[in-house]
Amino acid sequence: MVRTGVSWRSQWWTHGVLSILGFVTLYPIIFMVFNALKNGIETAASPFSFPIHPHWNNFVLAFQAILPAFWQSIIVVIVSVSFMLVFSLLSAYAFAWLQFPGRELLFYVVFALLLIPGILTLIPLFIEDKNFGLLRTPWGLIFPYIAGGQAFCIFVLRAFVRNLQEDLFGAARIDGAGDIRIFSLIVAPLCVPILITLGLLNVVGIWGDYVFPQLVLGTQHETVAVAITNFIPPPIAPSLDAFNLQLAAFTLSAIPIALLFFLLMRYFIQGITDGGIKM
Amino acid sequence: MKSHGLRNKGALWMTALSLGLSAVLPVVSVNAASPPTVPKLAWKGTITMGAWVFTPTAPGQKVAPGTVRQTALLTLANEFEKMYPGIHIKFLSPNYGNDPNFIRTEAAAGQLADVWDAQYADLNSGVIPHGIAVNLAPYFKKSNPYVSGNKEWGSYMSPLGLAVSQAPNGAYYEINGDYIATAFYYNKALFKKAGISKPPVTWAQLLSDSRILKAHGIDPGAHRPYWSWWSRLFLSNFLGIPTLKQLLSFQPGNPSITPQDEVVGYQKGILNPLKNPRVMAWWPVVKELYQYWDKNVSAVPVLNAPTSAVTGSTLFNAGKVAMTYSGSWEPGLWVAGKQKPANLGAFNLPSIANTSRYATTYDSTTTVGGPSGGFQYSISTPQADQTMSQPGKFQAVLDWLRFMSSPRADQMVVNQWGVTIPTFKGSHPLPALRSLTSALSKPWYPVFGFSDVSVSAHTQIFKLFQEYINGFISFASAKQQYAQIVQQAVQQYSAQNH
Amino acid sequence: MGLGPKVYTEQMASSVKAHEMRQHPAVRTKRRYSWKTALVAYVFLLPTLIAIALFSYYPALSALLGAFTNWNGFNPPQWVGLQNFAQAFQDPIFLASAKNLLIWSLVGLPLSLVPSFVVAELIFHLRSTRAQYVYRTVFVLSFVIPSVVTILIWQYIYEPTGLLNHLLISMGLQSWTQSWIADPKYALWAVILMGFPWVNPFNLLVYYAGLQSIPAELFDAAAVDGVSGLQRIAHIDVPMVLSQIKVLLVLSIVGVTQNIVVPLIMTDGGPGNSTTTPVFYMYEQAIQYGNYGYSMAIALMLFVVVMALALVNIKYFQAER
Repeated sequence: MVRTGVSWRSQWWTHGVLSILGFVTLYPIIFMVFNALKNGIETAASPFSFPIHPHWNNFVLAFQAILPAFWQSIIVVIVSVSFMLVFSLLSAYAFAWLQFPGRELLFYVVFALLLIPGILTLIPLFIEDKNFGLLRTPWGLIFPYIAGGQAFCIFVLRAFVRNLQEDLFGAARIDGAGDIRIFSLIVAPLCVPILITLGLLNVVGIWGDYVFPQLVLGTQHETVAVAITNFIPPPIAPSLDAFNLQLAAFTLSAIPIALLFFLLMRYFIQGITDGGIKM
Repeated sequence: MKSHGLRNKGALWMTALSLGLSAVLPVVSVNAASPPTVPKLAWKGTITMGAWVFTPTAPGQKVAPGTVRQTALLTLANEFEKMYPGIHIKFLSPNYGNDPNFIRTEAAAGQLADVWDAQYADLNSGVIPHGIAVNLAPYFKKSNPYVSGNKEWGSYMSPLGLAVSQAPNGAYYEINGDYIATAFYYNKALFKKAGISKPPVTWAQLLSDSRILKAHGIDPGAHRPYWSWWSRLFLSNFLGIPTLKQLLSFQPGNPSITPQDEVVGYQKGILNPLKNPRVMAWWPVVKELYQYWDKNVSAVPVLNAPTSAVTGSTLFNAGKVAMTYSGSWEPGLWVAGKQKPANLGAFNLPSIANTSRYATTYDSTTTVGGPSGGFQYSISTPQADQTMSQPGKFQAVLDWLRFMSSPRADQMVVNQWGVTIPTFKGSHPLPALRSLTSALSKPWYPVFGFSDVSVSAHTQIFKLFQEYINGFISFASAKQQYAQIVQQAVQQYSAQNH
Repeated sequence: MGLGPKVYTEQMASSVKAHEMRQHPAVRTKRRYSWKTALVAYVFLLPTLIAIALFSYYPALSALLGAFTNWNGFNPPQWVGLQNFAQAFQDPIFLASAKNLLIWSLVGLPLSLVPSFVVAELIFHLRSTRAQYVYRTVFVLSFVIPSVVTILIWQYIYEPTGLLNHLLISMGLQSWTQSWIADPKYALWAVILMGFPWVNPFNLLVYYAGLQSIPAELFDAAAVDGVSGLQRIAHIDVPMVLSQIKVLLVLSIVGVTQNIVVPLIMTDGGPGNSTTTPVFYMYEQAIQYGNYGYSMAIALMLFVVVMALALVNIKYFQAER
């Protein structure tokens, strides 16, 4: 693409602004790591300073506290995000390319879910989990997560799928391919980047959720986020370092997510940029 | 969200705490009085318990600095299991319970633990709806077979604990076995630097010391303006003993001032801020103190801060402020903060007798909280915990509760933590906290100023008080708003309880 | 002056039309359903529909029915009709929260839409694609930051002896210093403006994608005619990413009305009720006070308002085509 004609006075100016904004945007990461290495006294004295005497033991304590929760979190995240994506892609395909009575209505039925505050359904969902015998099992989280992710994923994927070249479909149809073949052989592969994008967004959300998992899983099979929030000594006698220990735990729990982002960054960005997220 | 634990009801003591680093003292060993006859239990299975601060530390688990390894309840559980092969007691995470929302949600699904911790105020006010916890009143009248010679379980419980944990309908939804303390703590080194040789004795001295510290460039103190602490100290004093006794009489048979007493008091005008100037005359007095104290802390608008690094405690233990007003866990934190133990001092609320023309001679220093520690346990109803409908299970759980609430057990569990004192007759506090027991027998007239009538009143009054203390609203406007909040809380309370 | 911007607009319009037509294959086969296709569609939709019926609608509807009851979350609810709604309209805290939300939306929506667009523009017009990639990565990485951490930092910035006041003093603006989040006059503004530079990584990438899909010829033609900078942004860039803006607007409306983390963790809705929002109040009523019925009435009203706004948006934009 030729953009040489675009007359920004100087690209250095742009670089300067972007670097500063980028630094400010990422500063919380630095703050988190610095304070994870201090104790409560040092944070109180100078929250923004560099940890001169790093307390590595904070990380040892934090690691010990959240390690058992890692597997539980990973299972929940993988299963719920995979099913969420498959289900929503199927629906998105139907909404985007297939004609059927009630298409508009059903789309709004799905879309309306975007607008329902999650806290509204907290207790009813919990009771439902109990009635279905899903409490204290990862399924009690996985099913609601799959359902909860549908609205946004379908909203985005429908737009994406609709923007795919119709010619591809036409050609395939002339070759006699049915919807299932078109879906699995043409649409799904083309959607991989946007699926990665949506997958990552949902991984971040589920990884950080703690209110619902705490209720559903109880205290014996906690997820990482639950382990972090529970990783404060009982509030009746606050430990001075409670907050630093939590920051250490937050840092550790962010590592897998950061790695995932680094690995998939190209696809993540491509997913959105190819996607044409629009109405 | 995290509960705010004690609801900041602590006790303020006549005698300064001896700063014996209670947290590191060993458990006082007590000889188990072996019970003569032990009831038979038919039921076998697992009893689940959310023991909150007394939850046994898992073996191999490191404890964070400033916290103590807990083993006492586990020892008791082992003894009980030995007595009843086939019964296992399983402790849930230390964060299980105490948070009313968590308890309510678990109960709504019938998944609540068999035994759990909750604050009496939540159980009585209906924030934890009635019907979740078993009413223990009938059992208090029967003997505790695990205490030799005992005729009535309730007979050795502290009158104060019993008084506060009695719900408006007369029920007891918990056992209440410990007492918590608060005091003003000060940094002797910083006081010395400002040329102050001894802690203040009167409120005027507290203010002048704060001014002197400030003049020397020292941040005098830090504390969040907890309404319910100041209200108990000042409102109780400003009302005076005759009025307090009158309030007490509104709910016959209950020896503490209950929300119901306050509601009647409001209807009779005694506690109506628009009719009785005493009700709010102390607000400007407290406001003056906060003019000198650290604004960063008094300004944080969060009451139930789930995560906040800016607290009076962190600043005080970092040596950044000279005073704080806090609970009896503070000495432990002082050590964890690597401060010199000799530099920590404590004093009680300085005399407030001359702070206003409404001030009386009633010594309100013991009114700040007390029986709101960690040893407050309830048993689930079958609706709240489906497993309780198993035949014979209730008896087994009740027996476990009786077993772990003997004076000996109370002492073992509470003293190991070292922050509160056991209150059951026959138990003994840690030597370092012994001086506090005298408060248990003193007349106790805390007036919460309606913050105990409902949680929403508590939240709104706290916010209003803070706005006033920080100088953002006038006294007149505060008065009008307080009157509104109180009126609404009273109406709501009357509608719910009649 | 050259041909002026008008040409670009026309050029653009036709390009958009082509785009839109491609986008709507359905338009051409209007209302002629093949039952075989319909069957396939229903089969494809089935997993989603089952999932949302069981785990989204069922709990949501049972919650919304609760809006007409007095329910403490444990004991059986009692039917009270519209009483909760009547109560809400006389509840000064609820009314204050509605006003706060209005202010929050009016300021918060531009903040969620504009800065991300500006940064997307800056990145997009960098010559080095490598640099573009690096900057995108930097902004996207902010996804991993827990919101608690951001809030804590801003607490340190806003406190009376915090960074912001230090900065003002060092600039000689002593008289401007305030207790930013403790003062009910400033608290709402402080929390709305928190999070500088307000770059939302998702919005940023969506805009970037929109900019990327603008045909290069448009930029070239603009350059030839000397149309540049703000003029070009106003006449080419913004109109061409309009469809992205629409989506982000709907998502931002939803986001801003459901934002509970800041009042919950940072201010507890205070000082006073100055940062209480309806969704926070709903949470407070249910979770802290145990008034589920009332809480759900608030939720229901919030839902209706947001749904209406979103529908107006969607309908308006569809009509525009």
